[in-house]
Amino acid sequence: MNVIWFLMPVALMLGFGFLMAFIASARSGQYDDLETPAHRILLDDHRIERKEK
Amino acid sequence: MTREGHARKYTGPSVGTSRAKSCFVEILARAPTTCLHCGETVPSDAKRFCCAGCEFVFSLLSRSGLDGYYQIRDSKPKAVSPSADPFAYCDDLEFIQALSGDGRTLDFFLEGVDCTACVWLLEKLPELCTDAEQARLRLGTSRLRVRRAPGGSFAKIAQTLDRLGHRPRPVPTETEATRAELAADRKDLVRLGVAAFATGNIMLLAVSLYAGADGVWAEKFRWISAALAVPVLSLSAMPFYRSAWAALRNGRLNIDVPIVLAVVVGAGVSIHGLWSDAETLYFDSLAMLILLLLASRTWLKRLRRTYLDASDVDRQLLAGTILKQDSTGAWKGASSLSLRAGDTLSVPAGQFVPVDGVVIESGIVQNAALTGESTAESRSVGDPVGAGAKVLSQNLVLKAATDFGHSRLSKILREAERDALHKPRWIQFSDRVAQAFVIAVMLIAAATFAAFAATDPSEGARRALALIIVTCPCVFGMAIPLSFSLAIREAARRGIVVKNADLFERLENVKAAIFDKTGTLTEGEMRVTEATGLDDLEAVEAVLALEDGQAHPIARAIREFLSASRLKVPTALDVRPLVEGGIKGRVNGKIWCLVPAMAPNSEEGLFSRVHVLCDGRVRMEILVQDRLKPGARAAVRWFGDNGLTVYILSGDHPSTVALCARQLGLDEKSGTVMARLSPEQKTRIVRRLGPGTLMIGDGANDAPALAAASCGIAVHGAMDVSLKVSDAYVMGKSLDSIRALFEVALRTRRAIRRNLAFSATFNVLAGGLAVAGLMTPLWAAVLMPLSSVSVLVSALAGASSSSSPAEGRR
Repeated sequence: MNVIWFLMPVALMLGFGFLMAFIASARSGQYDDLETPAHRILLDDHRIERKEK
Repeated sequence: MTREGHARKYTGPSVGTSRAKSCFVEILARAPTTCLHCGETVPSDAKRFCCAGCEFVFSLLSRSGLDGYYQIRDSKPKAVSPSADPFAYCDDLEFIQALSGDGRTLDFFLEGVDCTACVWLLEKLPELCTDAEQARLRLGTSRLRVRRAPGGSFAKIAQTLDRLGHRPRPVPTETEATRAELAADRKDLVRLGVAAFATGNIMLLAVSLYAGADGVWAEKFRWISAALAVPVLSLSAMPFYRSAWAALRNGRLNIDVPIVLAVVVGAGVSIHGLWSDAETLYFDSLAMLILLLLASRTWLKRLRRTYLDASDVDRQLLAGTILKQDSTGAWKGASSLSLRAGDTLSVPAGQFVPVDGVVIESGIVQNAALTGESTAESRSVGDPVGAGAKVLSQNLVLKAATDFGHSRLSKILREAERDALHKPRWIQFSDRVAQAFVIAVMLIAAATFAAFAATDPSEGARRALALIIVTCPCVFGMAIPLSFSLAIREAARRGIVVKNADLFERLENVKAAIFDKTGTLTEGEMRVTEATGLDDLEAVEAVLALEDGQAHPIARAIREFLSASRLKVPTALDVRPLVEGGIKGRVNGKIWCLVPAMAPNSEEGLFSRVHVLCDGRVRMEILVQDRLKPGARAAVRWFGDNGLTVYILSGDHPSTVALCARQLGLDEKSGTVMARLSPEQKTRIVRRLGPGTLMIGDGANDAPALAAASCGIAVHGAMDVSLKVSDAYVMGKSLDSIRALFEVALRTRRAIRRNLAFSATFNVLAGGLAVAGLMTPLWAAVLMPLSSVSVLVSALAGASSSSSPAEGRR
């Protein structure tokens, strides 16, 4: 069971890494608008067809 | 379509049924080919509309019986701007520098944005307009951030947005306030993330401790838990410390004080326990408490922002595009938002003056928003004019005396909103109860600890801690103020400015609804309701020519009605007033007279009949009436249905009042309809009707009656004066807002009572369990935030059950 002394710090560091990633994404503004992306994912990406030409 | 002289049958979408309107449309059949809706020239003779959009709107209005729109809307041509493009100022270097951070990105506030389709359409902007490189929409704030392609023009982008149907208003990309708000939001998230990370890991360790780990494992786990708890207790809990400290400094207790107390005591006990190898530590409970509370507060803050975002009332009313004179003397289109004191601006017809100022070129305005009078007033050079005045002449040139947003009207609107929450009785009451609550809880906790101090201090500490954590006066500290704020917002959204949240409580006991007549039930303005001889084009032209520029309300009514025919107005010469009333003048060589057909003080009361004469022959007859306000009949019916007695108290002629009562479906003989009353008599009657009276009247004339009633609602009148004597002010014309007020009040009362009941039950039960030792601090830490969240959700649900966030934002 002594492996736990190795696994514990690794687990904590993993968690800490995710925390850092979260903080970085929050700081860069990805969570500023939580409403519009919900609508955006429902929309298609294809371009408008140009009728005349 | 040919231009023939005789009447033609209109074959388009069916327009309203009144005789006046159908004649109208026949005129239009012979007018030059312009779009029936917007007046633009029509591409080909066969069409009546310039585009499908106009056709759609026209048929929609006609089908709904709303074609009165064409009579009501201001059809005077807008002031011709030197640059035909109203958005040309968007390309102005100074403008870009002021509003755009980097010169390539610009934010536009768009009207009418509320759905997924808007997101799709607007973000496709680069495909619709090559001047835009990228467009991102934020539904929450209705802002579109556009990045200009190199060499692209913001003006073209703005034009495209306008054509898509969303009137764009450029706004500063970043202001101090929004930047600070954004930074605060991000900090909140960081705090939340740290708390979540720490709590999760502490709980993992705690599971093993609870499962019975001991020895060297237990010791190490406890130390690791303590280490993980440090960032939570320091960084994440900061907002609570600050709030509690601020309250204590002012000698008060707020809901954060017991929380901070719990945290401090719990942390102290746990740290001490760490050193002295005590049995239980509370790091898990504390971390969980802070995490859940932080989560609910952050969520509440965001929700508050969605439902309670910054007051836009004055912006919606006053912001628009005006012409501003720059340093060279040239006129350029500009946004009202950019106005500063000292600017010279020109406001086109039909728009509101956006700032207080001094007139440079005379014109005619209407000050209904400020003084409540709907009569046209002329303003000459040097006269002051206030923001909110509506321009009736072609335009009005003035020099701004204040920056935009600092006018008297803006201040009034903002103050009214702020004062509405200023110590209503309910809030004072809930403040005091919250304080008493907190003191009581702390006393009980101290007593519990003292009871165990001698025998088993750790048990005492545990129970006391659990008690302090689980009980929460959040109903008083958060939910009741929130309910009131939401109610006031909702009321404002539906057209009523509420001065004091007490009103919601008092409305419950109202038994009698008392209306004033002129200006309250009726519009107080003349409108054309019937006209004959409309196919006589020459007569129509002559009337338009004679009434052009006349400020009399009847003249304005006739002008508005007839000018929708879009005929060219010839010039009238030798216009003279007639002794017996009316005017006469020469148009296109012929002499025309407009005379009232009946003396103004006759039994006909409400309306005036005008005859248009030429060569002694009556060519046209026009009936002008003071109409009932929209929603008047519905409001009276609603009151009746809900058991309130409706009274009409008026100073006007009995037959006029009787006619009005009949139109509303009231029995004029029942004793509830009274005429020829003086303001003193009205006040006496209001008092006599006892408690439970709701008076609805004009802020200026009915002030004493409004003040005497239990609840007073002012309709039409200067807002600030009205609000001094009444409890609420109806913006706009429709009386539907009054019904909305009752609905909002009922929902709010229900929500508050529900919350009070729930909170009382919860606190007593949970507190009892804690003192009895049946609740661990960990459970307390979970239950308390849950209870506060459910109270808040209940408050939100109670406030706006019918409007979605998207609608509310409009």
